[in-house]
Amino acid sequence: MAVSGPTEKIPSLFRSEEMVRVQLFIQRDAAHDTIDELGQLGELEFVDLNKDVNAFQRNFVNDIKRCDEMDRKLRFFGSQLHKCGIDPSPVSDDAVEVDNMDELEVILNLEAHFNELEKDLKQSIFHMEELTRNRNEVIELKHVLEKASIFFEEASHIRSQSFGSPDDIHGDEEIQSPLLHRGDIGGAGPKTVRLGFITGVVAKEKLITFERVVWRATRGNVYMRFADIERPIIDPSQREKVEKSVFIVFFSGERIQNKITKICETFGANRYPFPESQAEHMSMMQRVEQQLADLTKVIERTEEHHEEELRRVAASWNQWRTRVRKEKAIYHTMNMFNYDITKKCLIAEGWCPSVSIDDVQRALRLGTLRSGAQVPTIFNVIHTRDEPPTYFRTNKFTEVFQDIVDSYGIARYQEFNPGPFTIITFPFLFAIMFGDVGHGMLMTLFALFLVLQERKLGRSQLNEMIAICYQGRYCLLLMGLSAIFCGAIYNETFSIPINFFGRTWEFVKGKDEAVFLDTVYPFGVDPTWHGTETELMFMNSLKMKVSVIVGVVQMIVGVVLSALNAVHYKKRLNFWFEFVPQMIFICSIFGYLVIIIITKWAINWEARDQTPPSLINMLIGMFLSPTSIKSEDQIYSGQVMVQNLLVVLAFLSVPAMLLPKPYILKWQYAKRRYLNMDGAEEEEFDFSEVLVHQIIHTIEYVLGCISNTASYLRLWALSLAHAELSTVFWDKIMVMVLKMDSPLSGVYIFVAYSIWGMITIGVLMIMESLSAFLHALRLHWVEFQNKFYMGDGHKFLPFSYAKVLDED
Amino acid sequence: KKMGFLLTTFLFILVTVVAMFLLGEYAVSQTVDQRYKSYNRKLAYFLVVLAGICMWLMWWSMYMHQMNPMIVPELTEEVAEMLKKQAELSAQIFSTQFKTQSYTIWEQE
Repeated sequence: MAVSGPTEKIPSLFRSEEMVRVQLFIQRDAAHDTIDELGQLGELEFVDLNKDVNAFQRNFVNDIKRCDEMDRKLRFFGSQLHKCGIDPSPVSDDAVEVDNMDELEVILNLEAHFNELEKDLKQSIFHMEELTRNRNEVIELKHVLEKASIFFEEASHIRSQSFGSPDDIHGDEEIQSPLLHRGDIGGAGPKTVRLGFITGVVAKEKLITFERVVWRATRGNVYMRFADIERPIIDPSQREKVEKSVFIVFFSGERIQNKITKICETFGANRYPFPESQAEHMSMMQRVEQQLADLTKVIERTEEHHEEELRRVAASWNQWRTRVRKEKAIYHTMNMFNYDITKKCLIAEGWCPSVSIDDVQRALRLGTLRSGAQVPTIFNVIHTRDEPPTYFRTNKFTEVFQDIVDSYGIARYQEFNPGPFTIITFPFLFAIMFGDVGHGMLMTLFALFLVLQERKLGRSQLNEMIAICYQGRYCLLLMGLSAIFCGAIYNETFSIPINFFGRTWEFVKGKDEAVFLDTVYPFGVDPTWHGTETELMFMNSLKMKVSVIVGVVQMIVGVVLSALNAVHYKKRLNFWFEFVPQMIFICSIFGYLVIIIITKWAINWEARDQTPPSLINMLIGMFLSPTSIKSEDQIYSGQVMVQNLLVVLAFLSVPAMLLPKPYILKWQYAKRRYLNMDGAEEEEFDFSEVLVHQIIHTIEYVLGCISNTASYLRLWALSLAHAELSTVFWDKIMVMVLKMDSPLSGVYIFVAYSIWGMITIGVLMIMESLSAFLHALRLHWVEFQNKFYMGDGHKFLPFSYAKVLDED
Repeated sequence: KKMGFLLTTFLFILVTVVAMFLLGEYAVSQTVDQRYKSYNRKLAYFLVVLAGICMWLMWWSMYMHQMNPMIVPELTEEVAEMLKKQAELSAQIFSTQFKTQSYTIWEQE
């Protein structure tokens, strides 16, 4: 294995990695490429050297502005793509890894390219709009021509009828409205009143109002005709299809013409000229048809061209976006450096894991090489008093459990990480509360689905609830598997016990109580218990004892971990005057309790002919009446002496936790001050503060031991609740229906099964699992971790493209 | 009883050790960054052993609790009914040679 750094220590999940503070002197020319390389590596966290500088006054603000502009253009392209229904080609998995900086254009060229593209696309869109508007107008004109000509045809028809001789009319004469010649019909002589007309198109829903307004405005001196256009057409000034009608209005006089024109404008009715002669009409129709065909062709062509351009954009859109975001990240990072303009050199400071020093140096060399700068980057390790950040390398499996621990508090630099324990104990505690084979199987199947589909699900956008389940898929998987195991131990499958190995109790006729067959059911709880009168008593006693055992074991492990921390940080004081008294205290009381539980289990009380004494009474009696034990309460000989000894030890350990440490610290401080009388800086030592802190710590620990042990009884409480709920649902819903003997029982069973299924999923799977999850979490965070965990560190956040690109 | 206890404990240890090595190799095969092979292997060992201990603890508690029982199951109506029905059904299905313990008494009615 290659040497991996100055200390050759293999990192582990148990303690955070060793970090060194580094200083880099980067040439300005090499800066961009160097930081690019470091971003791909993702192992260096930069410290902001310009913290008190306003964001707008930093050195590279302009570059960031340019990147923002490019981002805006990209978003515009994206919206165009979306409008045309084209999907940008998806980003490949190695978008971060592949060094396609060389293959793609340099950022300046990219900027120019974007500018051009934007202009082109905007022009394209503008033209399209113009053309479309034109086309719609032409369509409306066409409709006007068609419909209005019908009026005139009718009119000439009536005219021919009223005037009789058809040879007055020539095919290409003026189409004259019979209204124009009042002639024989009546009136005082041929008045050649010049009637004018307006033709146009108006929206159908406004038609009646339009008519009324025109009628009123002109005092009835108009003649209007309307004809509906069958299919809705697109209004030129809008985008939607509207149902329209063609109208023609005959009037006399110029004032009326103005009025009608204004009314048309108000109603958004478009007016079109109408040729009066037949010949003009036909030629206009032809021209209109031709124009329409032309326009349609041009529009199609433009659309095609537009789409082609967009497709070309789509192919590289995601890559461009990645590129722009990377560039922005680079400039933000460069803003954190000290920029020495005269020497054209950037000074950067940061944290880096000591095992990655080689990698960082390699990245720096690569950066210098790529940019062709003369001076290589200088890399220095410096010493500092700042607390280094905490870094745990997690993979997709351990990540979720480490997140659980981090949610409570980030571990202090190099303190013992409860993460690896959490991976196993958290699902285990969950399972104690959730133990049921059937429900565990459902949970495992769900988690398996998420895990096996993780590639596909990882890329798609998920609903928020499912996204949370997806992130915790490995946790769910372990929880489900543990629940199956615990369910097998509790012998519950949807609250039904299964008889694998043969009963160990026998019911004899005439007696209510079963006879013990002197063998033990090999794995789990005997199924004979299910439904009996004393089942609850039995299970309660069992689960309470299990909870206490698990709790005390976990707490003792926690205390031992604090010892490991003391050893690592080389704090002898903590070891001797915190760990040892704490251990003595907890072992002498609760460790003893666990041992007594085990002893009580192991003794054959029938053979001894003694009723087994109550453990609670024993524990209380240990403190309240230490000197004597009644003979029927005694579990083993010599119990009085042992218990007295333990009580004395426990009592002694409390002042041992409390007093020595502050006094010794005071003595050490005094010694240091005495030796450093030449005024070296020493921290302030406030004895009262240290003493109070120690008092709080002691009280917290002592009381905490008792309350935390009791708190672990929630394992019992929740598992009881779960078992009872599932029993009740099964018995009351399914069994009742299964026992029924009616001809319709099939229907009843169907309905009952659906109800039972939905209740199982809703109440037991979702609600109970959330509840068990929460309580297991609390047990970890409070009862386990307050024995040793400081949790006041800060997290290592390296400059890494993977994280930058993940944020979107 | 003691034999069963020791035997099963031994089984647990055996399964844990085997799983330890199997999962250790699995973890190594899944590592992306080759420098961290031993990191993952050691983590896998630790996790498997921890899981083995937890599982054994649960099993052991159940076992010991039932070894010298201090509470006895008492009949309820439902259980009595169920046992009776089981006896009837078993008598129909199996021949009289196969007797499970619980219904021998009922049969002697």
